Amino acid sequence: MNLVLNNVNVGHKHPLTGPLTMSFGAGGMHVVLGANGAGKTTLLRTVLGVQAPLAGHITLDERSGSLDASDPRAWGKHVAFVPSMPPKHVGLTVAEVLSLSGPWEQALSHHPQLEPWLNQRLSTLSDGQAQQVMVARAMLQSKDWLMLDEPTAFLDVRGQRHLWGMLTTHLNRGGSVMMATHDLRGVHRWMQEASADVLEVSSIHVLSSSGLSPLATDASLDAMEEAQG
Amino acid sequence: MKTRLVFLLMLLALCLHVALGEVDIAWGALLGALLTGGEVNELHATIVKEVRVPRATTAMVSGTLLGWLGLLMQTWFRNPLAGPGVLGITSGGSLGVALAVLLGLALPAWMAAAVGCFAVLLLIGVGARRFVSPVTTLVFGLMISYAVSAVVTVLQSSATAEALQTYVFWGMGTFGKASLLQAISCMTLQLLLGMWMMRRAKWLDMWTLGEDLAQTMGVPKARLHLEILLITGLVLGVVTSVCGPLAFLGLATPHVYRFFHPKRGHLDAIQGIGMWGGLLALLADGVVRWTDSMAMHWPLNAVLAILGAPVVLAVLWKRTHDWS
Repeated sequence: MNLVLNNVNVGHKHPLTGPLTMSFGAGGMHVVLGANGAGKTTLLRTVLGVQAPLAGHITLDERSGSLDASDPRAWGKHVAFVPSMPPKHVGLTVAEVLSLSGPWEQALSHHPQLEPWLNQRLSTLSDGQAQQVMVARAMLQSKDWLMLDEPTAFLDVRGQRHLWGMLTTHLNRGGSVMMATHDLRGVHRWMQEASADVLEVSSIHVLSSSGLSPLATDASLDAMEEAQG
Repeated sequence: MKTRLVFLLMLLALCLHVALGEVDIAWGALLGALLTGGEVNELHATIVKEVRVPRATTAMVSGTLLGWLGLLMQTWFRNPLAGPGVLGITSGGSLGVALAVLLGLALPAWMAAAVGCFAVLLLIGVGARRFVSPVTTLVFGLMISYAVSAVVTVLQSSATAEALQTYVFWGMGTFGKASLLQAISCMTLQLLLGMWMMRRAKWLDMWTLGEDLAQTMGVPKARLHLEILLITGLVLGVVTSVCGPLAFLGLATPHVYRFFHPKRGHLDAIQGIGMWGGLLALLADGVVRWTDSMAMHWPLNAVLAILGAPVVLAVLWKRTHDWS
């Protein structure tokens, strides 16, 4: 299912960007870059349906018609969220957290590394481990789109590698990923590695007040920095 | 600790509460007379029916209700030190009683408390659409409390000593003034709140993961918020009007549960906290009744604070990172 933005304005009362019209292809790994304050998180919250767009429509096109982000129940089956920071003070065990979105056994079959933590409380895990649980949970909720907000902000290199591994699994299952980040260098380094490794970026867009502007997936770091302003 | 054990302890406390007291009830004769239809000792029957049973059941049920509300507030505000008092509803009850008693209106204290509680609830209901986040609600409750204590202070300065005493006594809280009818209404509320909480357990679990994340998982925030405000207001209004403004039970009971039991999911917590709340309230009232029999007359709220404050301090001290 392609994720389609049609003349969408996001923001609180005042639009942060010009109207966004864009189709993000199903099965792809889409990166949205933007400086702090450009509106990445607001865009992501709007696409997630947590916040209503100021104007326009956000839909998933399906053969049998389309789904609208303003219908949270149906939307949540196809669009799931991984926040930047795994939640704190959660006394639920990993198995309980996963069960909120589906059978945890299913998550284990994709991510066997979670097994030893199943009966531990989420609050006792490190940020990197907790983030893996949150990604696994999101994958139980949605087989289609995963929305990640600055997913690498709290992760060390090993944590990031685990994250890429899990996202690869998701893409290989036919899922799609959208990731908002300001981490230019991280994305650039990772794209260079990606050719040798597995994860391939489908599109990079830079979000600014004028809207979303595309960037070549082999853009140089200088070009990326210039586009972000 | 097994919840079954807590349940048995609670039942035991309930039985002791009804069985023991200043008047020695001839239980054998009373039960025998009831079963065989013989002549019942009127005094004993009246004491059991109109004093002991209402008091014991009100204590148990109020403890359960307040424990649940405490859990609800701690989950909703994601704050281990939140309690049912934070919405300002208890303060509204105090204001109602203060107005009635200190201005000398001919209104029983429980009715004045109910009016006060529901006035604040109405205010919350009207403002609910504007309370976009839990923090707004928290600040609202805080401001109500400040306003109430200011008004009470002003009223006190011109009140008679007798009226002042009535108000102070009401503020001490008691399970001893409940009628059988009030006890039954509290039990009805327990059924209502219990069923609602079990139904919402999954949403509450999701809510602990974060506001945005919970919404993307299918929790309708506005609806849940409204339900929590209205149900908490209703339950707290009734409990406060029957028992007075009770401290610590709501705040401390969830922590006692968390101290003894490992399960943090709401479905388990609701059951465990319900039993602990009942047990703790009965224990506290047991202490009150014991001091009464020694002619010391400790107020219920003092006993609750003596038992509850160390619990809250222990939470702050340990600051366990998985209180939720």
